[in-house]
Amino acid sequence: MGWETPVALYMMRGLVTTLELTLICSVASLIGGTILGVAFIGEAPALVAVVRLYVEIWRGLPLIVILFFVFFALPVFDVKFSAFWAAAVGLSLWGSAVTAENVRGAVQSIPKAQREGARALGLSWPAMMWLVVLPQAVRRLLPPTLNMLTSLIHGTSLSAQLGVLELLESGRRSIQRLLLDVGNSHSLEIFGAILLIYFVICYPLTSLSRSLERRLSV
Amino acid sequence: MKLLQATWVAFFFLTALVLSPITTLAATPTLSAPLPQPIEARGKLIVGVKCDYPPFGYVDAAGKHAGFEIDIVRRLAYYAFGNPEAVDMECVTGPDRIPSLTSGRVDLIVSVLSWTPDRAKIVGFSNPYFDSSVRMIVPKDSSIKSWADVRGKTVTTTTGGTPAIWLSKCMPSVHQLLFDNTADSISALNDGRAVAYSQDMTLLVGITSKNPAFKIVGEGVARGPFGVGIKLGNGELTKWVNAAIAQMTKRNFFWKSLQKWIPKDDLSAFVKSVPRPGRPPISYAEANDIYKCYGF
Amino acid sequence: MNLGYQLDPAYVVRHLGELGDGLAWTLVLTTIGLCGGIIAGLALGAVRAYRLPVFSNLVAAFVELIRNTPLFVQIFFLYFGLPKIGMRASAFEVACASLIIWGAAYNAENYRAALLAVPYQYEEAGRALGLGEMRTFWSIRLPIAIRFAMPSVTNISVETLKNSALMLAISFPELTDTAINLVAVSFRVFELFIVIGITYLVLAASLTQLMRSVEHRLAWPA
Repeated sequence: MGWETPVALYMMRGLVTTLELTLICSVASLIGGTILGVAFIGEAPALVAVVRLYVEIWRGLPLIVILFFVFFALPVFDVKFSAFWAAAVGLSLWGSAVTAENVRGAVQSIPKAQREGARALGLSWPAMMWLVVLPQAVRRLLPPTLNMLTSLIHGTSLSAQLGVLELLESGRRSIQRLLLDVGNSHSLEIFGAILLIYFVICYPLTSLSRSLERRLSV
Repeated sequence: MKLLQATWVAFFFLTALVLSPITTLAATPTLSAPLPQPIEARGKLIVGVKCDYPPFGYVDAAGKHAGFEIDIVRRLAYYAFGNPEAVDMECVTGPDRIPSLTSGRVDLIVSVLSWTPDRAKIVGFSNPYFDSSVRMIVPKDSSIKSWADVRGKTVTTTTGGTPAIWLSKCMPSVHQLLFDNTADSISALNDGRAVAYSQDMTLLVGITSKNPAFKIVGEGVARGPFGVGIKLGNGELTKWVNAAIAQMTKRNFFWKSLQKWIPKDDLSAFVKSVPRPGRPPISYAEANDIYKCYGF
Repeated sequence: MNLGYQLDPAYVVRHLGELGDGLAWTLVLTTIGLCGGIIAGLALGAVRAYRLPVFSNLVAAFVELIRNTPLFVQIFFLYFGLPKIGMRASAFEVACASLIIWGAAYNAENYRAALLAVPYQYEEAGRALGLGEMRTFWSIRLPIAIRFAMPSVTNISVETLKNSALMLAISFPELTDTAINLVAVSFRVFELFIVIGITYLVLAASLTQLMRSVEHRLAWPA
């Protein structure tokens, strides 16, 4: 089996890194984004403004610029990351901003009467959030969160540009090695395989998101 | 009695004399300068290397680092800690090798870094370990023979590399197609997106030895010896690296290692490219050459 | 702050020409990607909404493929993979094509939902007035669907702007590629990234404003 086996093994290593990166960033984005989202819908104008700024910046910049910034420019402030952690931080900044916005959207789609009713019953703001608002918001959050996770998986491919040895980078390095060693890079097969692997990972997520959306709107 | 004692002393003395070269070979040689304390405490070096640049630094089929510069890095680890594996090698590219150093992400960079006056303002250089010049490869049937023939055309090269700097300064009519790795440039050349690929001559020799579809043309320009990149101001580490290079020169390490990586037929062109014992050292003095345009 | 070098804002000013060219290319790519993505997306969405036999399934497969794979990988595939089967395109062509393909796949869903959301009464009214099927589509269903889809299409358009930054992969000289090349020779990471960061934020905000004002002018009188 000529060139395929070493390439496949090398790309398995890359895939593992992709999955690790995805897992870390998903958790960080969901936790961070939810906290920010709750502050977003809160009643302290200063806090809302700060979160609004955070969301606008990290959602407005191209993800690749965020990754380069974290990797190249933050070391200026003595904040140094390896390529993997720079990618993790950059992706999490983006993911948490998107999640905060999603939380805001989900909560605001709950009729205001619910919140007012809870307050009228004497519940404090935190109790109202925990017992009334968030349980309903979680259902509405599922489709956009699944979309965010899918985009996060897509986003890990950008970390190849920082040199992180994830799926795309492992394919690129194999292509480079093959071209220099045997003259034929097999780029079509390798990039095709990478597209296929991403498809297999993401398709279940997007299908689920679509069917949940349909069920929620009925 | 005295004669017997004298004989024993002489015997022990001679044995020690005979055995000492063996023990010095087995022990880690002490260099004339000490390893800086922070690195000593860490127990391993962190070095930025090339992963796409045969025969200097690349990744082989088994996924391991290999190449002339990798050999040098392992030797440095051996001098530092007695173990050639006591090193973390990080892949760096043209754009990120110097920021990796200035940000402290790596201790050293051994990544085909040519000395230029501009780079020397931002990065410290060790003494040179390799001397080379820049040429081009073109498809076998191309009519290009000299740099004058690529005026106004598209040439592909590496982002932030010495050929890119030289072309920007000396041949601004050339459109540069820049990639951060070797293979993308070669693909571009194969696909006819550029008429030539310009890089260090040693890399080009490595490519043409495996790929007879290309030939090397063009006069040698932008001579810039390679040095180990060290964070500016870290005099202690610079002294240590220079002491290591001196030791490697004494043992003819560079020439022996180069022979593993350059095809035998092409070796003669590289006789003056590495430091060798008994020869004058390579100097950076001619490296102001980077801006000599030779009328192109 | 430990830069390891001297901060020099004048560097950016000296290279304003190159950065300006990069910005111009970003705007060109965004415009082409945006317009192409909307027009193609509309066509594909209509095919799906009307369930044209065979084509509807093909479009569905196409949309799934593009939406479940990273654009970054799609770009590499088009530029480095396709030449292997003889389809060699320039960096500009690949940049435009990839942005249009991406935008069309995402807008197809937006327009399909929008077309299906147009209340059937309007179509019935059109038929009752004697308008044929095509006339009803062009004069009634389509304009309403376009208005419904505007918010989502605005999102996709801003994403197209951000996606243009990915063209550094194929060495196309848009803004981010230009900045990275400058970083590679000058190492002035901080100055350059602050400038392009601000530029992208301003561009994104401007584009959003532009599309919102178009939305208002087209607004469906409630």
